[in-house]
Amino acid sequence: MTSLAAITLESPKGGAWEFLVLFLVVILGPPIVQRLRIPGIIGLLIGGFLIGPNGLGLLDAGSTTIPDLGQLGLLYLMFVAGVELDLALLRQFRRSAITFGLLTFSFPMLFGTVAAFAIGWDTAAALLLGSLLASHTLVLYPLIRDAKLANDPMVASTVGATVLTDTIALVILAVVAGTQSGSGSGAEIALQIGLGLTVLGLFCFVLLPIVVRRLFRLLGTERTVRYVIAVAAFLAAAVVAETFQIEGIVGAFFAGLAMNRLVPNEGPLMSRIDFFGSALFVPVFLVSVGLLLKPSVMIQGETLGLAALFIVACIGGKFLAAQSSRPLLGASGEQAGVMFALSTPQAAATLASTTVGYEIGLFSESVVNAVLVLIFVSVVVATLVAEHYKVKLEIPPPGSRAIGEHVLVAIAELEPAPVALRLARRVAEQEAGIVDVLLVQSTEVAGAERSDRLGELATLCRRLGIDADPQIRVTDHFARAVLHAASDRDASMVLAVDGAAGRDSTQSWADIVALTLPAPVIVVRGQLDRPLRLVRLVAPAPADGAASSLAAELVAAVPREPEPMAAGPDGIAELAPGDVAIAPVESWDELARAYPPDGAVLVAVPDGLLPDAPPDPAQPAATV
Amino acid sequence: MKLVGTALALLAALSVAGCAAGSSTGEFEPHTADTLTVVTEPLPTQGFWEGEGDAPTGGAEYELANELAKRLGVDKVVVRTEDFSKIVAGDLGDADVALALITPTDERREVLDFTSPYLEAAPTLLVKGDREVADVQTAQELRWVVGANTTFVDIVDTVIRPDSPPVQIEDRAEEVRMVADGQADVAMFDLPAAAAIVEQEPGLSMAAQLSDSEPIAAALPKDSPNTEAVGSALRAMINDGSIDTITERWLGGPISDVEGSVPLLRTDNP
Repeated sequence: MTSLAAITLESPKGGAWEFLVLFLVVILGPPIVQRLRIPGIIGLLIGGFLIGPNGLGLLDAGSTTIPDLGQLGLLYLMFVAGVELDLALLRQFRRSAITFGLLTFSFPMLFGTVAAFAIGWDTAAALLLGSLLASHTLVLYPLIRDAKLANDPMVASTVGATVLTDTIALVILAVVAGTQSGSGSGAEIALQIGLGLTVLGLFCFVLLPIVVRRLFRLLGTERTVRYVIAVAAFLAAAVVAETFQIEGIVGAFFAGLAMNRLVPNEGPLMSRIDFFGSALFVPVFLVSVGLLLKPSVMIQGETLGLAALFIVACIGGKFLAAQSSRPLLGASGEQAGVMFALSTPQAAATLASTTVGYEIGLFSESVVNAVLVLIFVSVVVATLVAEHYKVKLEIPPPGSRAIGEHVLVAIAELEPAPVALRLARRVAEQEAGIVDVLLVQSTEVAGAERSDRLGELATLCRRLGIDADPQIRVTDHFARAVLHAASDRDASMVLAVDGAAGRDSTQSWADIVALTLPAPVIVVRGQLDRPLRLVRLVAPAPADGAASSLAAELVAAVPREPEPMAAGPDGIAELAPGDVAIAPVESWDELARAYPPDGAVLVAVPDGLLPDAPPDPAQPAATV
Repeated sequence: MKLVGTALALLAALSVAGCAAGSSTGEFEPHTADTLTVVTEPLPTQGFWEGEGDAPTGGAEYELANELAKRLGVDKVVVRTEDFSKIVAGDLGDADVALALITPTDERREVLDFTSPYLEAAPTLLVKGDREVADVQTAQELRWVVGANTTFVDIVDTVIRPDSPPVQIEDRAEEVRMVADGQADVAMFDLPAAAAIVEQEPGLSMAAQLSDSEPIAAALPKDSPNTEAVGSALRAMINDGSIDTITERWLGGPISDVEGSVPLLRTDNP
């Protein structure tokens, strides 16, 4: 008989065990702390401590798996921080964003640096401390956005200011770390850093977008490949940075900023980047930081003293910056409160700078633990302030949306689709927006044929570099299907690709949509499969009116100088094969008759066709 | 008014932080004024501590100690030697720090403080001549010698499981001599140490390395006030390449090159 004593069990260890423990922290950490209304990031930090050698010791003291993977997570975190920043807001609210960015950077930077000097730190450590206190992470932006306050000018300015604060903080980090790791005279180190930042800037902001865009078109037919290209891009930027002895996270952040337009925040690629970031890379970094958390160090008088100093310098500086926005930017008290809440949380950039400071031997464990206390306090204080002011701040009216934010291309026939898809992509790229594609098919089309057409459309999208999964609607009410889709997706513009089918009707489905939808509807008619940079662009002279200005925006998206076009039906009739005309049409009759000659394309921008009170999209507008 | 309030709060925080005044990297308080006292194993440890008695003449950890002293702001380095078993038992005497190729373990952490690792090294099989040890089955048949009280005792016991129990030797030089004289077939050292031995003893070679590296860190007396300062200085030396320069000088080239030249020991069962 076999004895149980013969069974040998080994205590769990190795890669599988470490990843299991890691994922348990990722699964359990955030929800537990979120029940206490504390952001999930704190749960990951505490979880890292618990599983580490300073906690329950579930990981071996010498284990390098999670710390090593955490380094990759740190690069990923900074890439995501750059790629998801809203550069459009920085452009839109340039003056107030830059003003607030400088304020909210300068006060904590000044206080942190002076305080560090006051307790005897050297210059490099003092500057790094100041810069890490001056950065911030938009941890609470979802809370403010969900309160419908995203369109508030001061909220938008704060979001825009983040680009500035984080960029300056990381440049300071690059300089400080460079001086610590470089050898040679001060001038040689300065030259090395200056040259490195210049090369890194050129690589990220000039070369990288061009290369990535081309790779997306050439190789990015598969979703996974597009994702891997994005990851490879920020790793390449990190390698370039490290080649010049600049911290890799600076390269990763710059790559994120540079690829901001190529990776729209609402697009499928961003959702994949977020998915992998949230599931693995960012948590593993936060858990690896948690491994450094030592309660024995944290409760020391030295650590608590440092934490108190950091908290006052950071939160005091952010508070003064927010209050300064009242006289300088005309912000109300409530707006200043929300600006303070948004700009105070310390997370991504702060953790990144602190980790680097620790790794290069500039910060001790006491400093790291004091920063962890600061992160906790800043997030909790900001959350309380945000909750207080978000209900007091008046919800702003919906702002005017850029037409490229969310372009819906509604297609009934495939042949005229390429020019519309190309135009949609160009317009969306201008605003870092996204393109959705809808294939509307009659019930008379057989199921297999519909599937084939959908497949062809998906292939066409990939060939044209559009990261979209075309959807199909089978209906005999084309206009209603498009109206529903546009409302459902909150489209900022609809490009209705109208085939020849409507020519003989008194009214095409695209016309109906143009008549009915409150968002701009552009009707595209004609067949042409040629890059927009190779077409002859024709447009009437600029004029007053909504349609003319909309037409001008479309013209601006096409990389060609427009040639003059005669007004009205004559201009359309004179189009030659290979021409793309972008023209406002001012009457219903004109739109109904506006079909270009074969081989030419008309992009018609209806004007004055919107009814006074748009009908309920739930009701069929018309049957075509 | 708000500026004044913030300034006052900052002043108050500064007074609270007064006890933290000093350095962002931790303050160094040597046992003997203006002196860094280092303890290591009896000399020599090839490549790491050259020389005789208590008079080191060079070596990677010796240079490391001197560079450490410079960064900690002390002028003088005093070296003492002690048996490895005493060092890892927490008996550092009046030394501020121990540099003796020590791997932090949970047991050792109970009696010592450790810095972050300054080297990562795979346990490596040192043999005489060009003996090949391709897999763990071959290694099991060999006569083993390992350093007493080192982590290699446990590694040989659990990973190799030799047919006959390994001989445990306190003296590192004696271990090397036993392999060179044929009294033992194989010994286990950290890869950089094995590389340094091979550099000085052409009759020996590195037959294989294990896949899992072991961290090597500086040890300090338990609850030493200097752990942060020494740890920060070592991390700065890793960051600016000082440690790579030192190890290249004493261990016959970059560690990564040596790692690439030693085959991995296959530990999977046939």
